[in-house]
Amino acid sequence: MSAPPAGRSYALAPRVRWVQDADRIIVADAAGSRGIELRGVEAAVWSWLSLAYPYAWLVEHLALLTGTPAAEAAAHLRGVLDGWLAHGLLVPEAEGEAPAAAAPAAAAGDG
Amino acid sequence: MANVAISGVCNLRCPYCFAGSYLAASREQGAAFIDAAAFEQRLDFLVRSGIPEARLIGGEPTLHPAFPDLVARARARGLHVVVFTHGLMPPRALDCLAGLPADACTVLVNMNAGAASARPDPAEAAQRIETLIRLGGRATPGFTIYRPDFDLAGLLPVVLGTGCRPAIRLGLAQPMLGGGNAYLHPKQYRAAGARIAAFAREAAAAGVALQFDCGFVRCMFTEQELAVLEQGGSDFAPRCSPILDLDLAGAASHCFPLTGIVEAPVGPGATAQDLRAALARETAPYRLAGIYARCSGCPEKARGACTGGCLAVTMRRFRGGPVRVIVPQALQAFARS
Repeated sequence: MSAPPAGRSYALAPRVRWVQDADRIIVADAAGSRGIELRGVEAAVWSWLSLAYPYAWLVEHLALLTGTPAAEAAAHLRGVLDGWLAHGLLVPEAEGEAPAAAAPAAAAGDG
Repeated sequence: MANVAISGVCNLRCPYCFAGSYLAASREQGAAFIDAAAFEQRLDFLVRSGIPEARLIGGEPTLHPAFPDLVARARARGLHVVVFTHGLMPPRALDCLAGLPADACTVLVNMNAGAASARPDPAEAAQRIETLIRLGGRATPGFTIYRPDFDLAGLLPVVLGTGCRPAIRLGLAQPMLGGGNAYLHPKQYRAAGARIAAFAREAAAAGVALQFDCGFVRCMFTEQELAVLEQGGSDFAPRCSPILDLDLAGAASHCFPLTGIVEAPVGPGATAQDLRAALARETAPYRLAGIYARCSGCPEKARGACTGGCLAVTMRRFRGGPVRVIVPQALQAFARS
């Protein structure tokens, strides 16, 4: 696996909380009291991001998951990320901020 | 329904108490007891909201030095008085409640043994029984389940021998969102359900009905066990909704476990319906989930037969971070949309 390319980093908006359920991911956005259910490809991408897989890995495995060429998977991924950015679920991290390694949730759930 | 906190103190230290955040906040604010003027405002709120009862909570509400006066004020408004107590109340409070008409008040007496210390205290147990005897039909004993090895058998002779209402109110200890109290883990619910159902058979045979507090879930019982509960006259209905706990400062929280987390300001003229709607909006995203990973896809939850358990437990499942992506320079276009 290659090193993450140098580029812009996006992270979960501070007001957003999420939980992995049996067949979906539920994202709770305190702004506007919105709840969003992610399923299928979106849920897969979200969970991969939570595990800190790099962008190239996401493209490669999304292509495998959807059975599409890498270029198509990359476009698909961009669309997913674009949507989350537009909804404010992801926000740009401060310039120069080093991405932290994925870590277990501090307040692990009870479920 | 709305609960009015009149006391910020309690003389017991029950391990499962989920009022800890509220009590800590009361200590920080130096607020021990509600004053008469603030209590009248709470009564105004109840009357304005069309709520026919004043549900008095704490801390331990009966420790309020002017408890009889507060009860008299609530009665003067024509409200049914409900008191949530540990049962070890001062004589003036017991005399006050025992002097009310039986249909004018409901005293929910928590019968958990050993609440004051690590060891069961026979004197405490005896005092609770005395309280039930004095209150007779005004009292309903309750029990909070916070560990899987609970034993309800000792409650039946108490109910049958004291003249209290032939019912037992069961509560399920829930975690404060910030943690710090003992509670029953959802993984233990099924075993607890089987134990409750077994007791329900005995209770029904003795003519004692089980009443259920919030936070129970349907799947902690089998269909057969649910039938037992129904046949025994229980009011089992898995529910979780904004209770509205009005604290000493006048803020309304969703419930004690969510004190300081999910709250709504009580503005002038606000009604319980307004506050409940605001709190429901605020918590709606979390309601998509439940206490188990399977809840969001559960048909019983979808048809409204179960809420998916306690919201505090559900919210503890949610987390922030560490979702993060580094987009290669060549793909920055997505970020400019």
